[in-house]
Amino acid sequence: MRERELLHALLDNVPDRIYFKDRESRFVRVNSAMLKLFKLDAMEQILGKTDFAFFTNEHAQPAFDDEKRVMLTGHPIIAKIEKETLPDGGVGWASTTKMPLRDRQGVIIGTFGISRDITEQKLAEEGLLKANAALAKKQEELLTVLEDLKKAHEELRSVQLQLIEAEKMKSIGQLAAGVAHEVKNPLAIIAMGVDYLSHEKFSSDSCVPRVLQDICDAVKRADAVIRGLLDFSLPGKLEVEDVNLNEIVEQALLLARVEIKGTGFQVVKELQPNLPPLKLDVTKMGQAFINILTNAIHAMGEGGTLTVRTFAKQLTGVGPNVGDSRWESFRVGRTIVVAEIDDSGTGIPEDKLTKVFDPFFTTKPTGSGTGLGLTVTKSIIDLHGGTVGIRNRPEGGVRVTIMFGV
Amino acid sequence: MAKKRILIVDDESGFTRLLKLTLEQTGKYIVCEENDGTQARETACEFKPDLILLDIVMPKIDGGDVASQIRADPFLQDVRIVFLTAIVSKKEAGGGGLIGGFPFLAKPVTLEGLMQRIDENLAA
Repeated sequence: MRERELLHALLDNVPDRIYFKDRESRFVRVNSAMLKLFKLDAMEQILGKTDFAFFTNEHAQPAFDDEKRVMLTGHPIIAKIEKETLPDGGVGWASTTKMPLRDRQGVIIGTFGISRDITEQKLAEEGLLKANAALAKKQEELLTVLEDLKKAHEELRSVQLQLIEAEKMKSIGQLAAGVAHEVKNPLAIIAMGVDYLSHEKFSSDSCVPRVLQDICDAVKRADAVIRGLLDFSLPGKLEVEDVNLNEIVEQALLLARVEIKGTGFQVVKELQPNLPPLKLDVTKMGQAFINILTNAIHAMGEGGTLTVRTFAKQLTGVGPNVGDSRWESFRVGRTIVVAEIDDSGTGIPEDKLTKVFDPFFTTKPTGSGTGLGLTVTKSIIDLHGGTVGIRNRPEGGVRVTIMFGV
Repeated sequence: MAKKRILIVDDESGFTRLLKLTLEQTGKYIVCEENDGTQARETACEFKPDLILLDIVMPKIDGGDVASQIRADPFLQDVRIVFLTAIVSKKEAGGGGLIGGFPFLAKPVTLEGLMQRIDENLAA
């Protein structure tokens, strides 16, 4: 076959659109694929016309401008992605290459181009992009849900632990009441026996009175523990009334002062006047504050500064016992009344801080305390819906912080 | 001065024995013990006490019911009753309050505290 026939065979069978244009961008030759695009039957229907006859301006004008630039510069445009818009509303995408058409002398006499229909590919790409975006959004939603689930799980765990703790405490309470009764009766016998023997001259041994006194002291210690256990275990019936917390604090300070031995102590009061009233059981809350103040005084040994501070504030930020969860003690935005008791003692070892509210935990020497004071204190404050926290102060000593919701 | 007559009602025989010895040692009291709460009213009618020291938690019958029986008996209506109890908290023990309308003492008791409470109630 001759070269011309081969070229015709190529032009008429290749699926890509091939065209040749003159200097005015008029079609001078196209292939069958191009005719098919415009739904034409014969070459004569396209020759001498421009893109403006077959495309909307949206495509025709940029294409015309590209051809002008190719003819002016002599530089081809390779694989440009073009959006082809037809008058009937049809839209397609093509990858187009435009080259300068030169005569035998190398003079540019027009352009020729080849356009590959990439509409399907483009639509697939767009579909993929949309799917990716939807997937990303879904992933974000899932991550949010995951976070919420984690949070809910933590909250549930916290509630579970609280419930377990409550059950334990209830069992301990029941046990304590039983133990108290069974232990106090033998203690009563021992105490009576010691009393009787103290008044009897049955031995000339000079150590006997001391021994009897030791037995008596031991009975008193055991009795103190049992009574503290009962305080801890008896049902918490509150007899509440509207009260200014400062009244309770002042009364507790008065009673706790008897624990102050020596002249090296200073008591500083920073009590905000006109605190919002709280619903408190005056007797029980007084007991709680006496426990805390007594501990603070004992922690300072021969001397130090005891500072008692009260104030009201509105919660503006998340912190210990403060958050947005309904399981937190207080929600951000709520007004609370705070009492802080600072001592200037030696502080509590960090590894022991989490245990201070445990029953029978004490940092005092054996025999100097039952280890139930803070346990009972926490129990009383919990019954009132408040919170109590204890931490070491950077400057030394301990701060006890009590919060009540108004 | 005539010795006061004290009846101790408590299921702990060791406790009642010691309490009797201790109180009689002072020379101020004549003491009778009863370890069965269900017999307390009958013993009281025989012994005719001025004051009854009455345990609360006892097998067969509790001190509250014994107190009601005694109060219901016309022969015993003027007898003073003081509860002796182990089940009382630190706060209640120090409070000098009442249980069921009767004064009480928390176990373990000291002789001094016991005598003070006895004398208070006999004087009232």
